[in-house]
Amino acid sequence: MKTLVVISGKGGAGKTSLAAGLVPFLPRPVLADADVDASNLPLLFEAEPLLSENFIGGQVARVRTADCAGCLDCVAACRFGAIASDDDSGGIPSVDPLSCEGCAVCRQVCPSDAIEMHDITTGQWFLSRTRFGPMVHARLGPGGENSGALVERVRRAAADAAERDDRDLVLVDAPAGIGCPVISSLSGADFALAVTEPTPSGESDLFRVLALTRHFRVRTAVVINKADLAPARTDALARELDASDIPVVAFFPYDETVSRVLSEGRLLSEASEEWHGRLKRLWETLEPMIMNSSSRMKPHEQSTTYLPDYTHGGPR
Amino acid sequence: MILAVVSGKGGTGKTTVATSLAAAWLRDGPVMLADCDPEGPNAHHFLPQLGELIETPVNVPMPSIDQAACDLCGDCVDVCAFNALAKLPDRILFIESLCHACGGCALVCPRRAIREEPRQVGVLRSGSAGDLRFLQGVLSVGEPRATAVIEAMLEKVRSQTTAEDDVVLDGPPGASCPVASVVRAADVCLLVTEPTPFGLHDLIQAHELIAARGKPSAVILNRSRGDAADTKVEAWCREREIPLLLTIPDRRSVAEAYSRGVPLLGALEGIEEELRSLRDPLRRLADAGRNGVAA
Amino acid sequence: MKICVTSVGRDMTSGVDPRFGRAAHFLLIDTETDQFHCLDDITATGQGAGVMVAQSVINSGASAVVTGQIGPRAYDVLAAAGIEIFLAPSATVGGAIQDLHAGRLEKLRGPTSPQHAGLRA
Repeated sequence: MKTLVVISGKGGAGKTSLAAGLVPFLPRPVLADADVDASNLPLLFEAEPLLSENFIGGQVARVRTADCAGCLDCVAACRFGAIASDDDSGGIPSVDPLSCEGCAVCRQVCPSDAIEMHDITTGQWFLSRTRFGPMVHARLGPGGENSGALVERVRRAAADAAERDDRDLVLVDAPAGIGCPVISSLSGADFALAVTEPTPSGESDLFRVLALTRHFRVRTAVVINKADLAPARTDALARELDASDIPVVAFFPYDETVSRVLSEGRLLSEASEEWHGRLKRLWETLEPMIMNSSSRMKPHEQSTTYLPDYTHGGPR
Repeated sequence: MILAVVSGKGGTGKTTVATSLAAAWLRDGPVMLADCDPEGPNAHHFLPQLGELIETPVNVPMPSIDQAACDLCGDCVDVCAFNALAKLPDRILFIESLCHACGGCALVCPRRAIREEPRQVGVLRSGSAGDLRFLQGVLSVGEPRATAVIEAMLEKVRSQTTAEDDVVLDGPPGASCPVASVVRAADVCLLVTEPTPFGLHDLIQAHELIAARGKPSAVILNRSRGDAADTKVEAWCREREIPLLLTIPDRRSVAEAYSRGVPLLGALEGIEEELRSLRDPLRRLADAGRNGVAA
Repeated sequence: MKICVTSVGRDMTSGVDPRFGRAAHFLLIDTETDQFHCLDDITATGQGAGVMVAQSVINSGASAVVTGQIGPRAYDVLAAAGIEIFLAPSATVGGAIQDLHAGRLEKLRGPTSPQHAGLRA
């Protein structure tokens, strides 16, 4: 069983649309939507939930007002501004659950033992059925912490589904960015497909996410979407990637009709014959890279030494 | 007024709108633009007038264990809510990537064997050009959590501005903890969406967060095709009584300008006036919010 | 010596559970007495799960672990504690112990799956 993760760094580059568009060509896939706070893959596939489970992302503190002596040591100790008292409450502090990290330092410092910690359900994950195979997805509640852990949960459930149903490929749609949910999406993956666009934001976010895949030794290829928006930029970017042994496996055009196609509930592969052909060819290029060999990168490969250093944001 | 530009869905145009708003409002007075997306900081691409940015590290206090003073009682391991400490047979092990810098371990250690030391998780950049002040938070690649960088940024915003200043916060995508931090600091939120099922779905999720915080909000519909999909967004806004302040058309020319680092002002005729005209309604929403008339 | 084997079930005929962090059960086998018991109360969720499980294994007095795959944080904690990790993803628990004694199991020198979050462990 192999895991292919679709990433981008930059939101809006076309990651989810392209990932979904590839699905009809994949060999018995399990789909995993790791973008848990903006979960869009289920919308494209009319996913029917088969089972769901609450996700306990952490804990929240609560003050037992009857036991509180009003010393406010907790307010001083909290580093997240999550506990405060105001005149309305008569000087008794209360916890803002949206800001509470669940560290329990307030409970630790409270001399009156007036603070208790409660598990909180910060989200839900679902195992659903789609016409192409099982899908695991999740919904993080508003302001939820620990999205990386929920992504891990989604990944585990997807791997379990693949094992149960004897499926060969898990396709993970990762969120934008480089934070813990992206890191959790990449963990243990066999291959990463990075979708980018020839714009300043697209490029700088791409380089940052490539630094992640390099560190995790996940073999990566790039798709340059909306390539004809800025042909000179596209060329320059392709050359830079080529110099670092990162294959650019497809150049897709900027297509104003895509937005409407998605709004009509169709997959990109169903948008037109051209798109069908492009996505089919993309999978044909990727398939041997992912499915046949052990794709874990060897240290000397994909060194990205020649890419500009975007660890701290890049050239200013 | 502190205005947070958020969206839910990534790529709807937050940075484009935030930088364009700032550019338009500069015509009428000073503006601070704070790029609060430390995972993918991009606002500077659209502000070429800024020049050299000054960089300062963002550090968080993390434990450093004096193994000689430690008697392996394990209280720190027990108290850590994030499993960032483990008790080995001969020492305490610290796992930085799990640490939330809460200070609990240092507090509990009966031997005072834990000291906190600053560890860098990112940088803040600042700069200015005329009436424009600029702040940007950057998360170091490999650091899992953007929140510490965002909080450092927001503290700097607060210390460098007064209630009379207009601050535009260019927020992160999504609706989880980084966005929650930005929304918390704002007086009013501007949700940028697009007419696709993704855009609306994520808009609703982001709005839940804003409503939970009791903040007022308004919507900008970007990349409009002028078709039935717009109606869905309009209907939702009407239903929730959230003002839909502006609809920006989907133009290839805008996308091409974007690829050159040119925001809306250079790409759409008349947009500057439209953006300038948003300042007052947003200020009014912000005031209403502060006076308890919100969401 | 005591060996901890991740297990699908509660006895020696159970299959080895390949996932260290989320294994169904953890059997602790004393090779001197051939006795074993199930380590209870090892449940872990969230991003610190691997560390929590590794800590429980350390506390049990095991000097070796047999499993199928292990993430980097759990690996680092066990390795730092001097606990050896062997791979036997498709054996039974009893079979894995025999293979271990016969030197047929691969010893891990690094985590099988890359880090779940954060570059600096």
